[in-house]
Amino acid sequence: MSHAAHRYGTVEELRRDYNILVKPYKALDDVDEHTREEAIRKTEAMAKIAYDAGAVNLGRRSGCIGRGDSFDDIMKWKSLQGFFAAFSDKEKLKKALKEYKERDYGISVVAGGLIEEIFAMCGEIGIKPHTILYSLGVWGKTDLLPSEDHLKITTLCGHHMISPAMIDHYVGQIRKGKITAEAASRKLAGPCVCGIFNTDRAASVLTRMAQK
Amino acid sequence: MIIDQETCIGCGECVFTCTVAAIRHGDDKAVIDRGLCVECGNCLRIADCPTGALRQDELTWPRIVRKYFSDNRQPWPEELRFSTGYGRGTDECKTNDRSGRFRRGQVGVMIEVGRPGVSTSFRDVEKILQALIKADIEFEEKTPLTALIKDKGKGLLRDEIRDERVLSCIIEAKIGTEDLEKILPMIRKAAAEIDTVFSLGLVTRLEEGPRSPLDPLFAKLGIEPRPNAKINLGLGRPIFEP
Repeated sequence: MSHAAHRYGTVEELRRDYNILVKPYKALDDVDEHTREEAIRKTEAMAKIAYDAGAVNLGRRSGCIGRGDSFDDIMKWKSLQGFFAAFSDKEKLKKALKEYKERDYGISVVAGGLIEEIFAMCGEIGIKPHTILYSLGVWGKTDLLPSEDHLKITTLCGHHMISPAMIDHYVGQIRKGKITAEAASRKLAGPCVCGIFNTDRAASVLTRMAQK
Repeated sequence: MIIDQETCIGCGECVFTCTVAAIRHGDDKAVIDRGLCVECGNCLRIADCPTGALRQDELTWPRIVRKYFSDNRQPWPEELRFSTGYGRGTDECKTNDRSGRFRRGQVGVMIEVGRPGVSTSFRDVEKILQALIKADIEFEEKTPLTALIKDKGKGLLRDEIRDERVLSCIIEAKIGTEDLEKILPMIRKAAAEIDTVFSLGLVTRLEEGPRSPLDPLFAKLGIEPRPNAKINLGLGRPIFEP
C-alpha cells in the first residue's frame, strides 16, 4: 500500500482527502496468543474510534463501509492485518488521532495526506512524527497514463483495482441520469476492499467529469 | 482469466472492469488479450457474467506470478513468502516506529514499477534493478520480488518470468542519505529506458519533530516532492529510536 503516498490531485483537492493505516507489527504482536489477542483488541478499538470520528470509508480484506458493508461485519474478522480508513475532513481525522495519542495503544499508525497539514495536526496534538514516505511523482513513459481526472480516482485505491474504463462507464451513467455520482462512487469503492478509497472525493471528481 | 467464446453472449459486462484494458469487444463477443491480462481477478469479482463464460483458468508457474503480484487477495505459497504474504506489498514505513527497518542516516528507495495503472513486464523491472545494482545499493529482502531473483549480485531475475506482466512490482532498496545525489540520476536514466512508468517514493526518519534530513538535498537537487506523503506518526510501542 505504498501508493497511499501517491494520491493524485491539487493541493485544494487534497485538503479534503486524508487516510490512515493502523497496523500491528508481527515480530512483536504475533509472538504468542496473549500478544496476538492484545493487538487484535487494540486494533478493533482503534477502528471503532476512526469510525465514530466520521471516517468516510474504513475497511480491511473482509470488506469496507464505503461500498455498503456494515462496520460490525467487517470487524468480525479476527486478524493482525490492521485496517485502513479515509477522511474528508481533517478535524475528524484529528479527533481520531487525538484519542489514539491519549489512549497510547502502542500500535503503529500511518497518516497519508498533505504534509503541512499532518505536521500541523501532530504539533497541536503533541505527536512526534517518526518516518516519512515522500512521493517524487511518476517517472518513465508518462504518455501512457490516463487523464488527470482518471488518476484522481484510480490513485485513491492502494492496489489500482479501479480501471479508467470503469470510471468512464459510470460517468456515462451519471450523464444519462441512471445513477448519482455518490452511488457511482460507492460502486467504484467495490473493487477497493481495503477501505482507503475516499468516496466523497471520488463523487466530486465524477460530478465534474460528467459535467464536461 | 479466460472468456469461453462458445458461451459468451457479448453483453460487455466484463469489458469496463479490466484494470489494464485487456478485455475488449470483439465482433460480437468479449475477447481477452492473455498477454496483457495480469490475472488481478477484478473482472470475475465485479462483472456479473450472465453465462459464466468469464472464468479463472488454472494458473501454473510462471503465469501464476501475475496473480501473486496483481491480486491482493491471492496468498503467496509459504515457500515463496518473503513479505506480507499477499500481493506486491512490503512493510516499508508502516511499522518503522517499531521495526527500525529504516534508521537515521538511511533512505529507503521505493520504486513501484507499472504504477499508476500502466502495468509492467518483469523485463522492465530487471532494467531498473540492473541500473541500481551499479550504485552498490542494498536491496530489501523482505519484499515479494525476492522470490523472483536469480542472481542478486547481478540484478537478474529468473529467466522464465521476464515476459510475465503484473499490475505493479515494488523494488525496495536502502541507501545512505549521502548517496541519494548519486542514485537519482541513475533512476532518471533507467526511467528513459523502460516501456512503462513507476511511482518513486523516498523514506526517511524524521529528526526532532517534522524536520526532514532530505530537505537540504531536495533544495540542492532542485527536486520538489509532492505536497502529500505518508507519515508514520511514531505512536508504536516500544518505539525504535536509533
